[in-house]
Amino acid sequence: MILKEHYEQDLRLVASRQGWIVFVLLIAWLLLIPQLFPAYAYPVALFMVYSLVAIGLNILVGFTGQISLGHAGFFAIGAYTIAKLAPIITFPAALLVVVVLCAVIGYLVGIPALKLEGPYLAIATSGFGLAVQQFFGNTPSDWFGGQSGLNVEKSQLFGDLFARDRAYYYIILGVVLLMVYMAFNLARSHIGRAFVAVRDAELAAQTSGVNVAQIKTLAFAISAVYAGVGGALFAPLLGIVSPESFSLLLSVQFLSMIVIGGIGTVAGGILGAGLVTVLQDQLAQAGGWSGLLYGLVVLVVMIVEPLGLYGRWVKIKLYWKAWPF
Amino acid sequence: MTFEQAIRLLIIGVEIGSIYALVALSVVLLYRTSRVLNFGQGELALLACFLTFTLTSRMGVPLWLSFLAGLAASAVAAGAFYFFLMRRAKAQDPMGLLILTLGFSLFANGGLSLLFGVDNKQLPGFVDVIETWTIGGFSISKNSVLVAVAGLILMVALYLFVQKSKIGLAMRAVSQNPEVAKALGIPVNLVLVSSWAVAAILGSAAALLLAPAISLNPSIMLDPLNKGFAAAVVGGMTSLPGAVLGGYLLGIIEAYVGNFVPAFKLALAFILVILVLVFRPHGLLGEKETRRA
Repeated sequence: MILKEHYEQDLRLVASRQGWIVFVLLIAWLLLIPQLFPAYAYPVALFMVYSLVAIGLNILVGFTGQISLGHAGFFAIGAYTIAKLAPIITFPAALLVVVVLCAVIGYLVGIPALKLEGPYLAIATSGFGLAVQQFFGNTPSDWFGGQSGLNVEKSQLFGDLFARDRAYYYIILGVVLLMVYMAFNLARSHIGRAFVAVRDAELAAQTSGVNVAQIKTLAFAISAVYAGVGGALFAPLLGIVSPESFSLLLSVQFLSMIVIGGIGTVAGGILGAGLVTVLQDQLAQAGGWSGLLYGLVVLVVMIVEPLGLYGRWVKIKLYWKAWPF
Repeated sequence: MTFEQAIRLLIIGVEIGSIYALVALSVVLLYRTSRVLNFGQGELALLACFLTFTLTSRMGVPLWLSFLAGLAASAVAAGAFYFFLMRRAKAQDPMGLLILTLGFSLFANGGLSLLFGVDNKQLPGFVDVIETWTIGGFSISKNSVLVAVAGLILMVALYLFVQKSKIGLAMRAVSQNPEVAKALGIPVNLVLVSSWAVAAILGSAAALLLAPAISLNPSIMLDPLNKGFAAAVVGGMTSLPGAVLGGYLLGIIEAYVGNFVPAFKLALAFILVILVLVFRPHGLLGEKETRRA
């Protein structure tokens, strides 16, 4: 969308001067939030967690072109794994377990998904999400707490030093920044390009030497890891994990984040996660109106701007660059 | 399991299976003509239920008349949704359209909850839900028979509509190739609007048959819609007979398995979906969609 004159431009992590400004301001803002506006620390932490899931989903849906209505399942797996492991091992070790577990499960889900496309894939993945939710809710309650779920104490994870909310906020920030950096790198690597090639023209990608099956399952695995780590950070933030919070509606919300933000870009996922978190936060006060207004936002975005907020931002930028023509 | 119990479960399976089959038919009909999954189908059906309830229980309109009014309202709403929103949306790829229907579903569910409330209501049925007939020692619920028979009648009516009527022929033409159909002078928009309306009628009829047996609230269609999607995928998204087969199959298997392990009733449908898709990626009766790369 933006004209690039040299290959080096394409390789840069942050593409332009505006990009740097946005990047530095965003980091500064995220660092200062708990100090300046402690009341906003929780929604901002939630935004960071959601943006991880949105980035992961965007890698699958936006980059590789495979739809998923089951990401609440991976999110739940991450959350429950942390909840179960919290009393036993340290947080970094538990996070590592989540990464490995979600990568394996994502890979396994990706294998049958190879044969499916479009509506079949949407239904099958939504089935995966529902099955995970049912599994956690209906296994004996001494396994995963049944319908009432499990409690997660931050002090179990980090000892008393990190039990305070502010410290946990910075842990989330650190993990999220690292994974966002990795996502930006992934998008520019040969794997990221292979994802896009598979999305745009599967046959052409195959003839150019892209191993389509491998790339598709890899996209599922990476996407699952992002969603799982999101869930793992989410559990201690909320303090409780229960099956009802990982419904199909959550998967729909994840999907609506990347659609609102902009499909197929890392920044789009972050923007969408931000807007949806703000919407949820504000709409919680609207009571019965929340479903109606949330649906309305999704409808308007889809009808007016299918490229999402990021697409609109790029269009505005291009407009001013070419102004007054 | 005794013989009597087996028969009883079969009847339950056929009853719930005809609900699933009707929902699956509406899913498949829409997918064949517009290549879209409509997640708003549940809300369209809810609109019919709530309208029927309000007319008959609050305003004293005869049940059959309010039933028809409910069906008509959901048909008009579906047609209008297609004509004014789906058709004009800038995101015309399958994923964009799917998300549009998800947005519509959230919007409509919120709106219906505000208008009619989220409390449980009791929609009256044509027969008393607890009344039974006794035939040769078996007691069969009148409601089960009504649901199964009404389901069959609707399926036959849909078959005649699609295969014998002129607009049904036009629908089949549009589902094969919209551009050629347009070039041949078929009013594609009218055909699409009417296929949305017919799909809404099928889904709403399923909901109106289901609702008297359970209480009516804005979340009752979530489960039947999921199962209907599952049934449509099992049968094949492009095959109307497949949808019927998938619906009955799912209903009957669910009745038997649900009797022994009730906790996994919901996951069961999707285990079936995944099993079928692994061996037949386009469903039991579906055909592979050809596309040019």
